Amino acid sequence: MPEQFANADQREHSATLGMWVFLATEVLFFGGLFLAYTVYRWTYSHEFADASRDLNIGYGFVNTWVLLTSSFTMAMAVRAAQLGRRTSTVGFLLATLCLGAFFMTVKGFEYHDDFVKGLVPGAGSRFQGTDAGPRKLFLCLYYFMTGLHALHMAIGIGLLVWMTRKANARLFSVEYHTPIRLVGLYWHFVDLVWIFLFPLLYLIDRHPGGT
Amino acid sequence: MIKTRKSAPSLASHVAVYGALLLLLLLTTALAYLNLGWMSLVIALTIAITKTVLVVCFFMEVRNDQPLTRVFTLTGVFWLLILISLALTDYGSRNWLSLPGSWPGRLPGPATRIIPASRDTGG
Repeated sequence: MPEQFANADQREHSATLGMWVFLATEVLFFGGLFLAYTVYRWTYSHEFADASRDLNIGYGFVNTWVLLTSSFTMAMAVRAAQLGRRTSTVGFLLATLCLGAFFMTVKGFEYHDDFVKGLVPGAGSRFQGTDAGPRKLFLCLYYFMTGLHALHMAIGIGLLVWMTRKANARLFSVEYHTPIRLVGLYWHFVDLVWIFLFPLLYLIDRHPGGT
Repeated sequence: MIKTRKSAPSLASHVAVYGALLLLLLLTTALAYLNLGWMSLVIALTIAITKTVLVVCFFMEVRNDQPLTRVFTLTGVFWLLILISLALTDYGSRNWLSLPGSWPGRLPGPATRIIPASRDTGG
């Protein structure tokens, strides 16, 4: 026990608060992109609706399902750690890890499809000419937002590998499993970002013959 | 005074939250295919916020955490609201006066729409 803490509870509470402070800065980090998205969608609502229909909703839907499931397995891993069940902690951490990797794989195939279809803002773009600006803006935001999210996923997967190894090496107990809780908070936060990205990028205006 | 160690959340609670999240995912996807005008956005965001509240309260265990954690969580949301609301008051009022720097201002071509015109399309 480091000497600045009165007891184990205070240690865990301090760590939890620190993690929430970090997550609040992350909210603002992504918030800037969501703000840019809001301003442009407000200004170019028709073009954004058209651009949204170009995206393949299948990838988005499957990935949302996968991430929600990974959040569930992560919560189960934390619960198992709280109950001191090492085997199921490791199992749920591995499940979360695999779901995260699956998400990244699907995202990779989706990016590939987008590139092949010319859904890119720069050279090789399907959209040319003076009218194309808003469509390209949407694609810029799409790549920046999903890209930054994917970067967070990659970091999360790395953290999960680390946690799985530590849990497997019996370094956690009912009394001390704070690192798993904090990685769990981070993982759920990354899931939350996607919960907003999915409707905002893929679901703007899907109905047939939409405006 | 810091509380003593809390108990782990129940399995039933985690499973119920997961089920609710999946139902909300199906709901938001299905509703996107209906022509609801501007209500589509309101509904999509309401569902996203509902999912967020479920994840934050149950999976992130803010519901059972110390009160200070809740304050920190809400502070993060509050800062985001400041960021978005103040920026939008700026963009929303820029073309009230026909001055340089009005929004969207610099982007030529038929795709350009000023903000009041785009409102008419919703419903």
